[in-house]
Amino acid sequence: MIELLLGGPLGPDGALVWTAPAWVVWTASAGAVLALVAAWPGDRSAGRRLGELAAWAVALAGGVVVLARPVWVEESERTEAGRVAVLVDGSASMGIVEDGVPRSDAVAGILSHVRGQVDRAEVFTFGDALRVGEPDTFEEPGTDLESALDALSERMTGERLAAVVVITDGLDRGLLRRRFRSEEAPTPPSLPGPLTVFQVGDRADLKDLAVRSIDTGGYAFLRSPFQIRAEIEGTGFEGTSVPVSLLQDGAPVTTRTVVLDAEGRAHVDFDVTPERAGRFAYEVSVPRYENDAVPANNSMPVVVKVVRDRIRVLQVAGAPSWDVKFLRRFLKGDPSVDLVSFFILRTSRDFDGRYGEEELSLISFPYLDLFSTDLWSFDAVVFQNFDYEPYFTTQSNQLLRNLEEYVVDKGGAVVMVGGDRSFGLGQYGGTALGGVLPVEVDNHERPSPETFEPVLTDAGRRHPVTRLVPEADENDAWWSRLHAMDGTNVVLKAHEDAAVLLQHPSLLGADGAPLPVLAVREVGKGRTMALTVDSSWRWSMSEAAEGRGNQAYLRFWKNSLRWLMRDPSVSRVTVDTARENYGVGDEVRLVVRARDTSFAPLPGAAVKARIERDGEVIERSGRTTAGGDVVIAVPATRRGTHKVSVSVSAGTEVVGDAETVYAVTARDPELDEVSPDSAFLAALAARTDGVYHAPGTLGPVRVDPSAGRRVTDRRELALWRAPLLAGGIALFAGIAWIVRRRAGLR
Amino acid sequence: MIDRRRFLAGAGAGLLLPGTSLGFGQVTRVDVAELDLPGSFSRPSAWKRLLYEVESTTSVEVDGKVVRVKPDDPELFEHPFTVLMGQDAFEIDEAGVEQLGRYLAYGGFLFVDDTSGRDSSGFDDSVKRLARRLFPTRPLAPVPRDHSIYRSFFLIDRPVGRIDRQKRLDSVTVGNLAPLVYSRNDVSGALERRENGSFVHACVPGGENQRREALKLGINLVLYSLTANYKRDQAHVVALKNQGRLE
Repeated sequence: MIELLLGGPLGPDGALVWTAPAWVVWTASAGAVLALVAAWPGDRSAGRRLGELAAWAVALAGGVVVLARPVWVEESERTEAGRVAVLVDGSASMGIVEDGVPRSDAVAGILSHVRGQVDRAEVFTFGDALRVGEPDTFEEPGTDLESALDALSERMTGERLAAVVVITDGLDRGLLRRRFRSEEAPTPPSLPGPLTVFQVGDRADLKDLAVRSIDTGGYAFLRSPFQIRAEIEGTGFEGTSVPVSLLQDGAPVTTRTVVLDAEGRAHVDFDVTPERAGRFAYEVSVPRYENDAVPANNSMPVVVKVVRDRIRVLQVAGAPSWDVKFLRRFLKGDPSVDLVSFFILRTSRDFDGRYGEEELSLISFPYLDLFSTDLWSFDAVVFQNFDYEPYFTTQSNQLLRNLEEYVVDKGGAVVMVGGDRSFGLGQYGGTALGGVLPVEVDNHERPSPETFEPVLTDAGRRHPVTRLVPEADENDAWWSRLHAMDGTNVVLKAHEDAAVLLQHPSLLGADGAPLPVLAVREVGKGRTMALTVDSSWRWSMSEAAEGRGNQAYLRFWKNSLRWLMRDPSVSRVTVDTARENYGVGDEVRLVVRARDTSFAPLPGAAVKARIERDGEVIERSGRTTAGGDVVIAVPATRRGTHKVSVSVSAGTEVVGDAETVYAVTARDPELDEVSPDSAFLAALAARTDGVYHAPGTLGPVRVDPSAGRRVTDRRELALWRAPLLAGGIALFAGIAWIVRRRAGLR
Repeated sequence: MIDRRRFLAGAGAGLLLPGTSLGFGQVTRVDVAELDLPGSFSRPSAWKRLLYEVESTTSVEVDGKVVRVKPDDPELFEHPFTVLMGQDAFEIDEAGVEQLGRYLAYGGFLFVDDTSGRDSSGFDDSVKRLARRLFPTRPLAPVPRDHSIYRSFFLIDRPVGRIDRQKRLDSVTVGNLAPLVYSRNDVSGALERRENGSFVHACVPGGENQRREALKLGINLVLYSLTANYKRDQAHVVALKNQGRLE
């Protein structure tokens, strides 16, 4: 009953606490006194006055007590046993399959073992961060044990734990493991309790062959050997031979066999000589044997940018001439060209016996080296009025086949310039080299000695080789004012794959079309060009005579070199990325540039980009800005070689296509290294005075029995809300009011 | 236009005839333009002889014609090999100098031959003035012994002509090329012939051997104008040194 009246029980160890501020109590008391004084006046008997004032005094005193907010407080203290934190590694490496089962399968048994030894085990999952609860899956993208332990300490706010249990494979990717590997006396992590480590995963059960890293040096020079070095690691393959393959654009290039050392490591060097400039996707791979723990790390892609140091040009002339002189002058004057010239200064027809060999400054023509071993080091070969037969003799077929291979398979460029030793007059008809030229030739050719003015074709108006100035009309004007040509080789006709850029104004080819004078052709991987005249030098001198310099001649040959070298500047559409290799999570920015036929920036063009990786396709679109370019951003989410192809159109016109390639080479770090690190875990336990349990052993958890916490119980009873107090106030105030009313007062 | 066969037939019978040509692009072949200035010499027979020797000794295809061109005539640009000979002072107007300078800048070649045989001549003074006007910042200087002119076809130790006074040629060098080469040994005098084929001048002091050397120099000049510094290319230098023909 008393508990009901008070609002609760009053414990024997409790104490009354007045919770209202003192000024509230004083103010209330003063108010009560004033109320009593105010109640004094009035005509009534002394007994009634005394009774009324007494009743008021009790009621007002009760009010003052309420306002003083009395609380009955009881406190008690007790000590709890220390808690145990169990940190389970939830990273992806815990999912690695060993001997047919994932490492993580061992976690449940260890947890059960720990719970059997200690009370109040609280389980946390850690990867890069710490979270409460057991892991549902083992897919955390990283492992940072030190961060997890720091987070645990912070969470416990200084409380001493009875035990800290860590269940992991030891493949920590944070600083802690690196510190333990590199320092003799590494600083231990801060621990809120004694450490017990249970290792899961056993190297003895693991089989994993991996390409650990690739180093290409960043970029390579065209036709100069560079090295691709790959680090190979094979857990479970120590001391064995492993074939390592190099692939380019998916096709095998070569295979080397390496012997892994006692730690299962080896490196292999591939010497590669790039034959074309641009970006090329290479991949180093090792076989995927049965039970390989992580098949995804058995190959690694890398994209290498191949750049030209200088354009290496071989100029071979059958005789010195003005045409030879002016072309050499141009090539020699271009700092981007590394020129090797060979001019035939004397033929068998020129021996007259009057001069001894010692008087001559002649050297033998090293044709065999040039067109067999040295050929591949050149970017372009110019045959200028050169007849092969007197020099190549019995090796003609082989050396001409080399030139064909140089163009078709190796991506080289060949230019044949006219003269009385060129084309049909040089007996190139029916040869391997003749087969890759842009024109078909007849070995019974009868050249035309008549001067003529070459006519620019429609293709020539658009083609970068003959685009001397950007504006089409001005370009026509430039060509129309150039000096006439002093005759031409009369070839049969243009090859069906060739583009004729200049043609004869009156002579016709065997196909009835105007005779080609300048034609270009893409054949296999390479490009060829045929100029059937030997007087292009006149374009230099005639312009100079008019005071216009020699820009027409220089631009024509510079354009020709650029086109032959596939210089991006002569493509209307280009696509590029800032780098060749990206990491997962990076943003890849594809920069697409479009030009109109005059090679001016093309704004407002529709751009479609297609990014393909192992059959997975991403498509993006955009529109070029006023500067003729657009940036298309795509995330680098998956490792592998990504082939980019873009197509640009303006209205109904197809402007062009372009391609490039990049690689996302940074792999999942959790799968880069998969062998459990027993040494690290054992050292960690030793350094922290903890306990390390090897895989498969369920030893005791190290517990600190003194660890625990004092818990204080506090119980409060708000007496100012007690029904007894409210009822008392109401009762006495009512009595006082009734007494007062009976005395006739208000 | 004389064709190659007629030229060879006229130049001398019994000499080695180079192989025949189908003759396309005849006018692009090598000819000689004599610079036509008041007081300058004209020795077409000397240059025809030289062209014949070039044709018969080297692989170069020549057009046997010799023309005279004024320095301000645009036809100058049709003939990348020009010669200027004389023994007396000459004058050339500003238009001529401007065009001649443009011609040399864009690939033309000028061989200047002082025929006077004297230590000092009006021609020599005029040539030096002309060189300064053409190339104000580049001196007319001796040609070094390892220059391509001395090895463009023959290996030449001493650049003699009708006389053997000057032990070296002079040239103006632009970049690594010499568009103007100057001899004071009367090279054309050693080559000039009468209509009956005999030589006009005796070569002193070396006689016919000296003429032979002068001819070799002439051939080298033509080859140099066609190949420029080709003989300075690494392949040639190394090969010739390996053969002991070059130090």
